[in-house]
Amino acid sequence: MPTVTDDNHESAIHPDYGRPIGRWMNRNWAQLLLMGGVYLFFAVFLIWPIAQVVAGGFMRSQPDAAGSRFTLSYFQLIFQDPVLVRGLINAALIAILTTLATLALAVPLAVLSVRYEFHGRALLAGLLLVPLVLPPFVGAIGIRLVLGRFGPLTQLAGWFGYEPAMGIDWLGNWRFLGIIVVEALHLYPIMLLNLQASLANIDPAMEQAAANLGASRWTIFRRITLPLMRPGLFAGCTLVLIWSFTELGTPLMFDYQDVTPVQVFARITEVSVNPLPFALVVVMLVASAGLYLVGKVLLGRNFDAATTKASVQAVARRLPGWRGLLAASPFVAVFLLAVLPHISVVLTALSDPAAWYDSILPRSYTLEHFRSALVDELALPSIRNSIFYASAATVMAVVVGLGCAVLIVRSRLPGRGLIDSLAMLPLAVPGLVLAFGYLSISVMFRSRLPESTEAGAWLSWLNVQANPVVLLIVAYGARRLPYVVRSAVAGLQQVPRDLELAGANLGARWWRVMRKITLPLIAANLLAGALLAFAFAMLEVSDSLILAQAAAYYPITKAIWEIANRLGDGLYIASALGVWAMVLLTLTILSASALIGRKMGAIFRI
Amino acid sequence: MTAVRLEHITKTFGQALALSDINLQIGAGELFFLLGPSGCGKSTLLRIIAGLHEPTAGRVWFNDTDVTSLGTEKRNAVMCFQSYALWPHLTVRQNVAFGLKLREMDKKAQDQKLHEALQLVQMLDYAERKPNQLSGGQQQRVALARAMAVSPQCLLLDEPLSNLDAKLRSEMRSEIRRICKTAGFTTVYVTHDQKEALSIADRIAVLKDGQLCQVGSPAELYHQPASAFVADFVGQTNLLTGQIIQRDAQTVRVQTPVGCLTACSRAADLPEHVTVSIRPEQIQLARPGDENKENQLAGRVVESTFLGEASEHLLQINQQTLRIICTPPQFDPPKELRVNIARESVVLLTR
Repeated sequence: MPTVTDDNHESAIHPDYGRPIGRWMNRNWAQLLLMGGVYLFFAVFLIWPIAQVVAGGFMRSQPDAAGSRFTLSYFQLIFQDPVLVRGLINAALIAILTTLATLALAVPLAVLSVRYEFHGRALLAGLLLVPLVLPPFVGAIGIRLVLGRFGPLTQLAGWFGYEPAMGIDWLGNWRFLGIIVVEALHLYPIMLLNLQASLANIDPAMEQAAANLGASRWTIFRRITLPLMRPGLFAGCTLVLIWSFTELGTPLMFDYQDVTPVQVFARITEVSVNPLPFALVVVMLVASAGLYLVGKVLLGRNFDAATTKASVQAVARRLPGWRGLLAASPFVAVFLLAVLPHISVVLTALSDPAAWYDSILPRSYTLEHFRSALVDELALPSIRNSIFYASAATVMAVVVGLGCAVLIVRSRLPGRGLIDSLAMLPLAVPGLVLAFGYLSISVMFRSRLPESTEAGAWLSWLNVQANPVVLLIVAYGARRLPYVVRSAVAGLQQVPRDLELAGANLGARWWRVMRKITLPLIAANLLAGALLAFAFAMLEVSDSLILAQAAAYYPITKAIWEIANRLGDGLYIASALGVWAMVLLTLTILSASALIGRKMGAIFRI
Repeated sequence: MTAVRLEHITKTFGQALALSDINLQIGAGELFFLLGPSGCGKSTLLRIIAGLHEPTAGRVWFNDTDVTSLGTEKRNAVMCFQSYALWPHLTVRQNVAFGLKLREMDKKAQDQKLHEALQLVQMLDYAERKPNQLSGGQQQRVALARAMAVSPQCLLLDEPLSNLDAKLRSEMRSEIRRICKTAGFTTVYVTHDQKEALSIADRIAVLKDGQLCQVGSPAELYHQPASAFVADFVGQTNLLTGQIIQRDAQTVRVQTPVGCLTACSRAADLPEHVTVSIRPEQIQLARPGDENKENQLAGRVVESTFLGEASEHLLQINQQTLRIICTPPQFDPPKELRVNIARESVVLLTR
């Protein structure tokens, strides 16, 4: 009988009696097959598109010859064009300032919510996560009105005695700042979740030991707490930095042209003849990867907790009475600030056309837009499309994500570590890059295999212009994969191995153990990850704007974008559509939060 | 030199009572032990002295200063944590230097102290390692060095040697005593290991279920335990039920399951029913010619264990088992053994 040791589970599961060799082979075949499938998925839907983008940036096709040639000329073009260079600088500035702003918001909130106990803490901490799924893209519509020349903010300024005759051109003067504010108010939950998780993981004895040696609170925070929060800081900063660096929706809604993602988007129609957008995307990819690596070097060095012994229990300090209220007030303030754009979207949707002008609140209200939003020729199909795309993408992400998680946590096959990294790759690769990759695959097929040929007709699902459904679903799913993988991994790690071994020991095969024991035990984690993936997919911007090019296939975001650009009551109907979407999403995220509770942070870790 | 005084210390965690009405005086420069089984509240008491817990009721005095609500960072009562609490992002050197840097001291003196502390715990060679590159015992030594390096007013040790091997433990034990005595800081040492306490303590307080059982020197606790619990916890003992059948000025006759025994009469107000404690090593094998000595018992050997420097035997006398320890060890003892117990070794305890 083989000894049962931690690093030898195979032998533990298959004792020498029974049919050890046959079963061992069965199980390993299943795992090998699974691993092959997962790698195939990554190769086709992740590596290939990225490679395609990179190649597009470096290759110049020869008009006379069939082949293409390596070139750096596009990059030369980019760095010689002052407009494009300014776009890159602005994108970097937005990213850095947004990250700093989220840090400033999230650090105090994280400390308050982890270290102190006060009335309504759980509810407030949950509410603070809501803005994450309310897309800044929709919020930006509201902001545009609030910041209008004669909008509510100008009115408010009037109260303080500042009343220029021409109104105040907030958007003209403060556009850049506006983008940062909106993005920071959208992205701070990611930072918050990561900081909370890493703070909660710090052994209280670490800080007690420093205090006990005579260190002041500030010294403890600076020399002990902050360094120990490094993993959370790293995860939060890289996610926010990359997200805001490549954010397309917000600057687009602010009509801000001088930033790379928007410049790429503006050139999208010429993508089949002009590879410059590819080159721009490559620059963004390199910059993102660079940021990730710098972050990893500066903050990411992981240290395992030094002690294995159980230590002191962390006890949140109770803040009674007015001190509790004082602690709760920043939560309320940040939440209100974060949903302000969305409140203004609601108000816009409720406002009579032109009734929100020269006043702080709309002068008259109507429910007409909500009805119009549902009967609009773009709106209802787009809602239906989005629900379909998001559901299909979620199913795909759950299936692939679960496969990845099982291999990462439970298998001993070589190459499982690489799966972990690959599954997290979509976090480091901007959505814009992936969307562009899919687009370029589509373009390539179209030019090589016209619809007239038989193969071309068969591959028409790859043609974004004709039918983007498959690529949209894949794009949505692949981008949300990290969240599903993280939550599934977290769940699997919490299921003691012995529970599965007990099943196997009674004679159940691997698949049966998986279905009857493992899956039910991690159902809550999976569901939470799936809901989150669904929520993000519903209001996804980059892929939607770039890949959905035919009106019949528009998802909600693209429909909002198109309707908002319409003259007349477009903005109002777009807002109403946005409100419908937000209602749907708020319900989703609240149920996700209720399901997984404070463990939500685990999903956002890299 | 700081004397520590605890007055009516009570601590509750929610509904659970961790400590109830503890009164203790720890002299300046004393090496004082808190001894008790796990869960008795000794670590909680140490944390109250350190200022990491505030007592629910009662006061803590350092000399003539009431420090009950003084923050831990202002007390200079430095603790060596049971979980070590080494900072994983700092090297061994940085961990130990942390407290030194907070004290106003020139660089040379700092380096000197750092070097001494690391040398003391034999960790000089590992100064540049991170804690997770060390074994449990090495980590524990770093934690000890970190606390001792700053020469605190009061050094608080929470099971500081629990993870060391036997040889290193006894070495470190005497080192701790030597340093505390030369540097003169008051030391409170928490342990559940009675050998550790008996070997180096000036005085020991025995705790049980959050209550103080007895305070005294190692010899007092060992030879004159105040209760059956103390007798049993501090060293091994045989506990027998007894009934006093006769007493005069010097002696008490007590009836036990192993027979009638004579004891010295110490406490005047012993009740009729008592517990009798007899240390196994104070039970002597009878030699020829001892036939008429008092407290002589005969029994059957049911089990023998070789302990190295001694041997242990279980003696069956009238359904009662008596543990005896023989130095030098007895190999192949006869099936029947006769033993003597000096009347000073028969300790009578209130039940």
